[in-house]
Amino acid sequence: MEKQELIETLKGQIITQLNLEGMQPEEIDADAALFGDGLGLDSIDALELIVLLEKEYGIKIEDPKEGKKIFHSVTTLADYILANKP
Amino acid sequence: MAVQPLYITSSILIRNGKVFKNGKELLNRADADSAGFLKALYEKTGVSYPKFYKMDNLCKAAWAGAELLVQGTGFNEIYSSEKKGIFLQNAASSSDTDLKHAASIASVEQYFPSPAVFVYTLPNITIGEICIRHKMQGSSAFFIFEGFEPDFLLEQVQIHMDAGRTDACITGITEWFGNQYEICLFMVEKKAGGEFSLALMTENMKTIYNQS
Amino acid sequence: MKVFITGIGAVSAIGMDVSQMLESLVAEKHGIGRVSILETAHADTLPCGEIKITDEEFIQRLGIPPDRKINRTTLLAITAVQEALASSGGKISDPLRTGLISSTTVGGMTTTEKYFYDFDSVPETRDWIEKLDCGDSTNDIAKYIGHRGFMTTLSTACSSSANAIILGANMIKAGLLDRVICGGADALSKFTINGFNSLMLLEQEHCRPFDKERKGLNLGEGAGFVVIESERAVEEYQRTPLAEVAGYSNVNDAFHQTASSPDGAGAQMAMKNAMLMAGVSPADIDYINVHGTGTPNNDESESKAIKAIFEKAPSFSSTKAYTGHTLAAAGGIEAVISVLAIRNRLLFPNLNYKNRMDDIDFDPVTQLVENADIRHVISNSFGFGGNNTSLLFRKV
Repeated sequence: MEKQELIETLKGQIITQLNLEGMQPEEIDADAALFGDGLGLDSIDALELIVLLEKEYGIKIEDPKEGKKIFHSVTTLADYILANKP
Repeated sequence: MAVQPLYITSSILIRNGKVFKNGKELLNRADADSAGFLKALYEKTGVSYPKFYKMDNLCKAAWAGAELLVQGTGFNEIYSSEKKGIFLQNAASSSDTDLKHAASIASVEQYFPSPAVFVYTLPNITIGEICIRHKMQGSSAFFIFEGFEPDFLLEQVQIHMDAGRTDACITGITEWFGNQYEICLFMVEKKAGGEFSLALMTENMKTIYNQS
Repeated sequence: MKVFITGIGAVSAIGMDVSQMLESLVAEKHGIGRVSILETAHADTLPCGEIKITDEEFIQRLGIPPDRKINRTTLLAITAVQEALASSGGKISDPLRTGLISSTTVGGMTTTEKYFYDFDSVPETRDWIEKLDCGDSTNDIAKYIGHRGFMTTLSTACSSSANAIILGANMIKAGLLDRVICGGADALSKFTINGFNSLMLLEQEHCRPFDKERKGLNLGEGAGFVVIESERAVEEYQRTPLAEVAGYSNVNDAFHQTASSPDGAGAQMAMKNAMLMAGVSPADIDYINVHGTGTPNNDESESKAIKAIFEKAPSFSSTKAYTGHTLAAAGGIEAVISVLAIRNRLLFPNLNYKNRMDDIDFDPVTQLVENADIRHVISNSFGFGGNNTSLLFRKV
């Protein structure tokens, strides 16, 4: 899968998985921080993203601390998926 | 122990798509389904609180109910966070979400328990959400009974107020199961309020609860 | 009106009764291991504090007719309630205004999930549906011990049974009851194992509370109950008071649905209020049975709270590496452990502790300490929803 295409798919999946009511995929900046000031996600959202990775891409993350880097932005998430897809 | 007079200084009743504040109709969306009604309820609060969308139905309804209950009162200005208590009850506990979590681990093929769902499999998360919003750090408890038990709630409130552990509190019933719901909340203070105030008595609690 | 603990009862992975529990605590014998009774996909990967007695064996031990449907949470509760009542020297028929305040987070979930797919096709299994209800469990306890007075069920996550003790003490102080059997029980269930696992809070090895390298908690199951009585009842019935319930506090951390605040604001408030109510200062606290689940978040937050309140940290330990985290039962079980510490002059070790965490300048008790002069004990129980409770017990 092309990276750009993956980024767009991910935006939609993030909105659904995290219940980001009223938000459109184009409102998410692929390079902006997902946590903290960016989308304002919290620790439970991070866990939901871990579930999303396993459910949709078959990638398992054992240590929630690992998630910090991977979930920095939609782009870093896409990079991680492309590098680790089984 | 001295029993001091207490007052209901604000009330909210949410049932059948309608909201009543201090006995007056505040919102009527009897036409909407539960998701639509919850959204209307959120909009009615006029608050921007993105976390609302992540809550389960019970928390959404209770959170919005508490928000509307508190609005226009001095609850958050007058009282220190340690002296604000909350005592809730219902009959279904968190069963509405418990069943969703149970279903997510029941299927062998689709075995993906969701952390965001599991978090809400406890009724006192409802209390947590309200406490986070209004910075309430005093005593709290969530009780399960077969039906509305104003006598019991009143007793709880009285004990905590008399012991000086709380100066003001929110009490009532917060229920959501399937498509059935009811939220009936009372703000209780030691002083009579301005435009609305009733003595804290079981009869008055029942009158508000039975309004619609 | 003072309130005293006059009876204690507990069942957990380290013993079927209080005396077995004390033996295990002293011998540093923990109960964490492979799950073999509950059927779960995680049996080999997530160790738990499981009681190695089947439901059928419990039913037999308690002399309950085998055709009666009673869920595991209730079987655990009855075991501990019976022991607590017997140890108080009282009978349920004593002409006292007695209350039963039980607490549980999963209720009958263990059986509900077992028959989930059969409810449609096998009508006989449907009786278990009503057994899911947390309140139904309290009803069954009452039926079994012949209690007809006030009863209620409380559910505030992992602080449930500590709050049951607070509610009981409050009702005695308010003159509504003379004696209350209070505590809580939770059986292991797929529901909680999978839920905690989804929150990535579970350790795959034996948990290491307060250790720098701790990774998470081990779940456990059990029940812990105490009998508390008013000063007047204690005198009238010549009970032996085991400890005074001298102070308590329940506050809300108001920070996050499941996580504790970084500075342990709620924990600080709960401990401070309990000391205030008991009329003691931080220097008077001889032991804290901490909540100490073993998750990175809880232990850090609780350490910070201890650091903030106490000039010199008192002796403290988490006993959860013995029992696992028994959720609603934890506060009850740890109240029993606190009483055992006071009565036997023992400080129980915090198992598996090796390295101190950063920014903290104290360690938990790591070896059994005998002949310890313990007058005041704080027992902490913190639950999801920011529900923080501290109980303070005084030697009598």
